[in-house]
Amino acid sequence: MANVAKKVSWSGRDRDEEDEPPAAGEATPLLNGASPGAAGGPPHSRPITHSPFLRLGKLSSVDLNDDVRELETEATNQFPSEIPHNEKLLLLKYESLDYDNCENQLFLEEERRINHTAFRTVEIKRWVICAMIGILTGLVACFIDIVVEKLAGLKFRVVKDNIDKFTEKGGLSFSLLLWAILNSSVVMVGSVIVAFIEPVAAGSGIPQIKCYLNGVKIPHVVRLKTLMIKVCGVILSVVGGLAVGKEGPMIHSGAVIAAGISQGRSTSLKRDFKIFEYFRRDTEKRDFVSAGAAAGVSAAFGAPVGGVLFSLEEGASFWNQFLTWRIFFASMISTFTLNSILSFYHGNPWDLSSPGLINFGRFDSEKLGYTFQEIPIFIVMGVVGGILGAIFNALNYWLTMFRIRYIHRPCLQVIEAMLVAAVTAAVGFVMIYCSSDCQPLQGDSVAYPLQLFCADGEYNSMATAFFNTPEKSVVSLFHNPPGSYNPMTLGMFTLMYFFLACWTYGLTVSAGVFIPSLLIGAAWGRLFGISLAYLTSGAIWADPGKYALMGAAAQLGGIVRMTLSLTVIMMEATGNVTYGFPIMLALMTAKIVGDYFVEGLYDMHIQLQSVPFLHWEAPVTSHSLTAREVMSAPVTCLRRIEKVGTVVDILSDTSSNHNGFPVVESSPDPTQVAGLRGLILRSQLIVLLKHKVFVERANLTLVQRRLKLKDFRDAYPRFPPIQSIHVSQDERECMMDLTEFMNPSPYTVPQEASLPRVFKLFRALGLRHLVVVDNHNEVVGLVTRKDLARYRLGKEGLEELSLAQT
Amino acid sequence: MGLPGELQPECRELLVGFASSSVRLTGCLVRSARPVRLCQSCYRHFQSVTEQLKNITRAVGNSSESNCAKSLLMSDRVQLVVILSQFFNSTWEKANCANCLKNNSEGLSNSTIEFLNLFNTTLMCFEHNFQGQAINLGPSNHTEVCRNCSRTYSNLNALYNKMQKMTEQGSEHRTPLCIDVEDAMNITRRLWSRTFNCSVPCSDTVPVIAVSSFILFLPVIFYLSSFLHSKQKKRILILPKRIQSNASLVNIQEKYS
Repeated sequence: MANVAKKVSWSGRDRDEEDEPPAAGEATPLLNGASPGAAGGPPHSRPITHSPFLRLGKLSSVDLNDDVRELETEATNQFPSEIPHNEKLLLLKYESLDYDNCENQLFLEEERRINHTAFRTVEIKRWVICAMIGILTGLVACFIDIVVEKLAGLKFRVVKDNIDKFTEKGGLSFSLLLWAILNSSVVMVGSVIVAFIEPVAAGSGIPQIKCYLNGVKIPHVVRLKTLMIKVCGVILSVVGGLAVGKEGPMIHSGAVIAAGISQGRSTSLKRDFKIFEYFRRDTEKRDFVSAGAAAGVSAAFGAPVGGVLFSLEEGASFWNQFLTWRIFFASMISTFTLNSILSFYHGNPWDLSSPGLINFGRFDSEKLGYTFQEIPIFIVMGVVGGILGAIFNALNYWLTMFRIRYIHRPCLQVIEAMLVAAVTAAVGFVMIYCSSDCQPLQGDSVAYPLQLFCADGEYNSMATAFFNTPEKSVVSLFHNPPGSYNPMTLGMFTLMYFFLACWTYGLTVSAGVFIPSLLIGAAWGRLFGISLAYLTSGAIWADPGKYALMGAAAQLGGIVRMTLSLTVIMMEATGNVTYGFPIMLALMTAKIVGDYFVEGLYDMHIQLQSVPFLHWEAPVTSHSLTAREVMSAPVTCLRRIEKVGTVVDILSDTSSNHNGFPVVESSPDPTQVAGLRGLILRSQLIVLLKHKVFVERANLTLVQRRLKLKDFRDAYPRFPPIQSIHVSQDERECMMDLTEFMNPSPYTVPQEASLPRVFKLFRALGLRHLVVVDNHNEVVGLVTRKDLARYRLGKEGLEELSLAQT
Repeated sequence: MGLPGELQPECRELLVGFASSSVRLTGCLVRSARPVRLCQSCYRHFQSVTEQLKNITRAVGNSSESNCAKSLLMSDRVQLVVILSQFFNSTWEKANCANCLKNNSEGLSNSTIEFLNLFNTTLMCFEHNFQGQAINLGPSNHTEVCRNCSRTYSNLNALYNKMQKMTEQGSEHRTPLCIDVEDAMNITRRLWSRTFNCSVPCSDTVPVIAVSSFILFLPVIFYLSSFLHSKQKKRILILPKRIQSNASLVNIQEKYS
């Protein structure tokens, strides 16, 4: 109510002032961009110099030469062309995060107000948050693990009883149908929630987190809703028997948890706990998200150091030692939480024997050591892994392209997922049916022994691979004694699982690719080991489990192409440091060989999603490109003291959805040079408009509360759209003073700076806008993420991506 | 009294006691190694060995230096008594004999007795029906055994499965049944399906192939139809606002082609 009252009085006052406009307003007539066609403009419209060349909202302060204007008009005359989706695009919907701290006057004031001890409590709060991230991530991992175990156990028991029943009587086709229908109905639920409620929860989430840490804002990626869907989706897709793992999604889950906790509120639940308000900005949130991702890795593999290195490898451009130490803390807490809860759950408290979701088991007996002669063999395995990984990625590339182009409707996506689930079951069943590899049942080595056509007291060996959750299959491939699988079984399994996993990745279900890759690798690795022992007629290298491990490492490396973090993760998961060296060799060769053909799976998906991702460095052959060629121009600038109407028009212009506006000196004389004074963001302007921080109001109501940094933080991260902000006609005539709120010292580069130079500055500082100025400190252009991400080293030299809209 | 370092007579007695009981146990273990009858035949001996060992540990002796436990269990590097008792214990645990004994280890548990009785009947049945047949085992012609003993065999199987389930319920981890029961079951199963070739599952290859190929064809139809009927996703190209955008493109092409 108060708002309305204010508004009324305000507009009344505005009328009074019409006759004597404030001094700054006098500049307005001289500006040629002041909304000539603004429908229903104020009745007392002032003389406006019409400029046919400049579009709405473009101000004359951008002093441009004539040829630029002509180019510009040409561009606007062209019709937007439609093309099918391809990999050489950058989507407009992806925006940058504001990793650069805005040091405006409000910020300085706040810093002055907070004394030294308060900063110390902030530091303590950071540690508390990290601990909470660790604990919650561990708990979520426990939840996933236990529920998957229960549900999958139930499913396998039902199917097994059914198969046992029908093996005696005949009619196994019904068991097949039962299995396929069970699978696809579970997967249907999992896919429906992803496709219809939160599509960003699809896949492993690692590409999305990678983008986030790179500085790209993927919509909805760190919301509570996404976490819920992710967790349920993972459970359902693993229970649904797809060729997927639950480890990759843990990384995303950890990141969402971190982003949620560090903000001390949930916008989805509309609850604000009024804590941790200091951390409500992108810079702080990013640090916590990297801690969350590390905690996720650590919970997934029981690899705290691997988790830290994963965050380092993926988000390393913004890093410092204190952060590393904090992240390590979060990782350790996470794996410890998981470990203690799971050991309680398994009935032997404080045994602490399950540090991660996947447990590779112990590799410490003496026969599992390796010798010098074996090292070349491991390298050969790395080569095989690289080639197979490249084939996997290439196949998945075509499939993903097809999916983006043709299977983009949610219901089609759900049907596809269901079909894949049914086919996975059918393939598994047929493989088990045709296999005649029977092994004697010993104690408790097999979780769900399927007898089928084997003699009583024996089980079907193929069934241990297909009729099980993928994690368990990996472990049994590593550890079952030599002779538990015959080579034929392994070969068929590898072949089938390879295609199934390749087909499954990229479906609209939340699921990871780590475990399927490990499984494929373990299967062919074991095969490799067996044939090696066969070729050398037994003797020294008898144990195939070791080769299964190396194969798994090589295959995973060939698909995802991570190096440092993956080596450490594998090393920690096996709990054997001596294996570090061969694992490293296998991964290295796999990466080198794989990179020769295609890039890694995650990078490929990032590229296919048309995300403006900034790699480590600018393309090597781009030194001849200068900032002038790279930048976007002309720039929509604002004056230091700007008319509200102009601001509103610029913000609501849908054709140029800009987010940052250079602020220039508001000189009354247009011919005079208008130097750059600062940079203001859309979000800040929206908060200013919402609170109606206008010059006239400040003069008249002295008691008015001053805007603080807190007001900006409260609106973060979901700033309301401009359409939701009501600005009355009279208010449009007011002026806004941006001096206090803009970032007074934005980073700038001269026009002659080369692309790699600009790139380095941009990437290292995590910038969002980089202003290009000429010798007179006049704004010439603006470099944003999309301007830099466009240039890429393709097959034949430097190529340029085009911008596109959905 | 002998020298101070010599063993006290009561300690020697204890040692001799342990020796004789462990001899009995060892003999029993080895004798009942094949076919495995460990638990049923040796549990008394095992109990007596544990008893003896307990006596040794409990014999705190009258003075501190003449401590039997100390001199028998910890005064040398080899510690033979400890090694032996550890061996017995680990064997017992490995065989999981506790599973088929009563809680206080006084005799076999009811279910085990029931199982062994049924096992004996099954074997008798096998023997009985097998009498008439030729010694050289042909692959197929044991239909008589299969027909006559199938009831007892399936009863035995069912009982075994029930026992297995019961032990699973008891603890979180899957613990195997005791070795006697397990081995008895294995022998019977091997006889049944390998020697007599009785379990002939009906394989219905045709329907399985039909159903699975139906399922495998579904995706093909799906992808074809979505390729033909679904509208291709189009992206609208946005022209970037840039100075000399054409010139720079030419620039690139000049340089790299």
